[in-house]
Amino acid sequence: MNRHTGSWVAIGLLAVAPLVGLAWAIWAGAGGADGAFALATLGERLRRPAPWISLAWSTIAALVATALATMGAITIALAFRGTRAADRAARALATLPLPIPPIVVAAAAVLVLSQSGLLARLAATAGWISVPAEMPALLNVPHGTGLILALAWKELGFLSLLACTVVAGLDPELEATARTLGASARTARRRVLVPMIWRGIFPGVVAAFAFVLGSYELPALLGPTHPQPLAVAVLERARDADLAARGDAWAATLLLFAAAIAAVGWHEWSRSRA
Amino acid sequence: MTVGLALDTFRSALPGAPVIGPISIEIAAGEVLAMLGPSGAGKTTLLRAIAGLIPATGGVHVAGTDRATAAPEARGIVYLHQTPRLFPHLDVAGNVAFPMHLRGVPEATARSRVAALLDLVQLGPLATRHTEGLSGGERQRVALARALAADPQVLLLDEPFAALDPSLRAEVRAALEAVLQSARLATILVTHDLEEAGWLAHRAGVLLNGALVQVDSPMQLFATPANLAVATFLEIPNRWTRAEATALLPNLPPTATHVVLPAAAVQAKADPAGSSVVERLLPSRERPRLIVRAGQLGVVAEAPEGPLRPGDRVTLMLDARRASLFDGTGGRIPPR
Amino acid sequence: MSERPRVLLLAGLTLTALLPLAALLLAAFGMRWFFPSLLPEAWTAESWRDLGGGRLLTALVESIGLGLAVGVGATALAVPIGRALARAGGGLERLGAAAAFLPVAVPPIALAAGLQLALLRLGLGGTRTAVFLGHLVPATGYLSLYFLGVFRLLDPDYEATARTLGATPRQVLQRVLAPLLARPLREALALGFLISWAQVPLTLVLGGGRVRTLAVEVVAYVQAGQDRHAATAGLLLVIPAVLALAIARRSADRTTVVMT
Repeated sequence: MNRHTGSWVAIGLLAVAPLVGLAWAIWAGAGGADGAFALATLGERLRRPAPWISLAWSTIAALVATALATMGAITIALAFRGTRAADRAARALATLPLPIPPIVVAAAAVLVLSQSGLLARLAATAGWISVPAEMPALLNVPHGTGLILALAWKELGFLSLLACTVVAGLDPELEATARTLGASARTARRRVLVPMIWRGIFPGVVAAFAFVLGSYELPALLGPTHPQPLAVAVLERARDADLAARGDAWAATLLLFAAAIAAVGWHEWSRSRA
Repeated sequence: MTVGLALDTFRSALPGAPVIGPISIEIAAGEVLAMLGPSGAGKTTLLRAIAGLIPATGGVHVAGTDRATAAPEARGIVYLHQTPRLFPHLDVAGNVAFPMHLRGVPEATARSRVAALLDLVQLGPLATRHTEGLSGGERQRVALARALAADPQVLLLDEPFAALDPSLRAEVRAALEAVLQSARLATILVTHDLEEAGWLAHRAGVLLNGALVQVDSPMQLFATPANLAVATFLEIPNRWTRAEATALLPNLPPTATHVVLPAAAVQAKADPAGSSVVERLLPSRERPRLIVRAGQLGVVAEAPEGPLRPGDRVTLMLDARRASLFDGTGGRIPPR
Repeated sequence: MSERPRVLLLAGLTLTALLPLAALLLAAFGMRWFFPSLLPEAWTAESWRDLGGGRLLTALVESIGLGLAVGVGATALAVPIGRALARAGGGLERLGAAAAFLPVAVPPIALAAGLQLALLRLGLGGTRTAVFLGHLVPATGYLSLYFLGVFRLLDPDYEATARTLGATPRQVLQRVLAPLLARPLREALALGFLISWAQVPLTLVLGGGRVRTLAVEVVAYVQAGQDRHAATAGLLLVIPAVLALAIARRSADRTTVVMT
């Protein structure tokens, strides 16, 4: 052993926390916490549709939000890659959501997007609606539009920062090369710049997707109650007084773990390719 | 002769870059013009301006059509960087196919053309390889194949060998020769390597401070440099003022202020009674040269067969007909 | 790109930044703000008076205390870890980095499951210590990766050079490493603080509802429809976060970016 022993122990402890959680979720999900451990119990819990529906709903919401944010980030990085004041202002505005805590994003989303929120008031001022009920409901609805918009905004901060960094590091001569090989300015953007940015930000896109899939605050405040987003379902069941409900939560946690591990694997794979 | 590329009072004056021109020149289809010049002379700027990547004025005619105002993609001109810019998001075949995909060439046609082009540059087996693992020479050859895939009329090569290890230059030169033979392109090859120019070029031009000072066959360039600056750039060794040269070349015309004499025009002959002394031997792959002390003057001369050592006495024989004479403005004085 | 779409894009971006901020400010300071008026009828600083000694002040103090403790604790742990990983190199470095990445990548809600079990066994269920330890795990994981990046760039030859120039190991630390690490250390403290500052699910589960940080209070306020308090607490949460924007931007190119 070398003099860094303490550091390696600390690293081990860091990795152990989630692994113990995984083991516990399996044990408790199989009824171990109630003194009746049986893998059949876990199997039965995992055969119920509810956690799967939650997983599917959360996955789709995370995919749509990530796709929106990615398209936005690439567009912004390409449109504002200059050094003029407008370019710098646009990049700063796009990265603004990055450090804002998700819970504040959720609170602000409620104030802006609800049926009597700022957006509805602007619509009323413009004469498009006269009562809140005429404003389409965006929050706590099964189609999840408001949640997806809020998630996408939060992700935009991260992804636009990444995309702008990638664009700043691109070799400007690649574009010149494409031009003399016969590509118009537009085609060079589409066939050279966009694929290059995509390649550069892809690991980040996967990380953002994983983050959004496992996040709690925004789905808890902006998501629907039916179907319940997975992270919300897990936390609510886990705090339930009913022990059987807690067992359900552990089974759902396993799905969350599996999704997270799949995303981490995807992330590592995409980084190794980049 | 079909003219591939014609420049007509072509000029570029971009802030921050060397001022170029005005330049007027015609390059035939199938002809290679080597563009020589010291760094900072504006060689790269000239190529980029011809390719339409930076603004310029004057005529750019490609195969008879005026392209001066056309966008870079619509000129029929491909520009190759010194370090080839392969697209990192595409593999080798994808890079070569890129220009064909732009034109909407059917996939099957594109694929067989890619295979043929990669064979031409001897890279057939690397088609599906990622560009990252390629050597510098392989990257250059992919870039050449890709340039041909754009079906250009004009090829602009910016120091294609400069960034390469000497051991890789031969393979790239072979690929370039194959490429130039397969298509009748008007080619400008920018280089500062005279030997390279000799291998590939039909004519060579010297660009000094943005001006195309002389265009000639590579051999002629050495024999008759147009002015003192060209002779200096070409590193023709014996460059003397009239005063320095007068002991060795007494019959100079009155207007001559400078004399330039290639080493090959100076023969040293071993002679124990000679007035000159060998100072040092200059190693060379071919015939070795000597630096000979003749009075105040150090003269570069061709060594005779047989050994000579520093300190040996020699007699110098000068071929005055091969001397280039220049007047007070640096301009060449025509031979009498 | 031509000017027109750029102007529209810039306007859209301005709106997405301005609307949430305006909504928070109007809700925090407005009184009798009824639909459909754009502005409230009156203004108040009522919820801000809470800061003189109410639930909001308690939460603010709790958040600041936890954030500082987590920032310092995680940085203190992450510096030697990052250094050990960088010096290990090769497979050991990759394995260690993966181990440090695990608590960062696993959703906090899933992480909470494992931690809750361990902390309950230690008799720490629902305590401030439990929440501190819980926040420490992802913060240390993230900052370890951050310092791995820092030490990877920090050429060990600096140390060797200083030694051959006559510096003792102690002087190397004082005169070479400390100045080189000053900025990364400041960034790490800020990032560790922010990770704790914005954390909700770990606080909820491990604190058992008894440890009430500002972020957790916002959840309660929003769920109770107390917009003014939610907005006030939200604004308080944003201030240090936006101050740290520059820091986050500068460290974005290293490892993965923290998305608090």
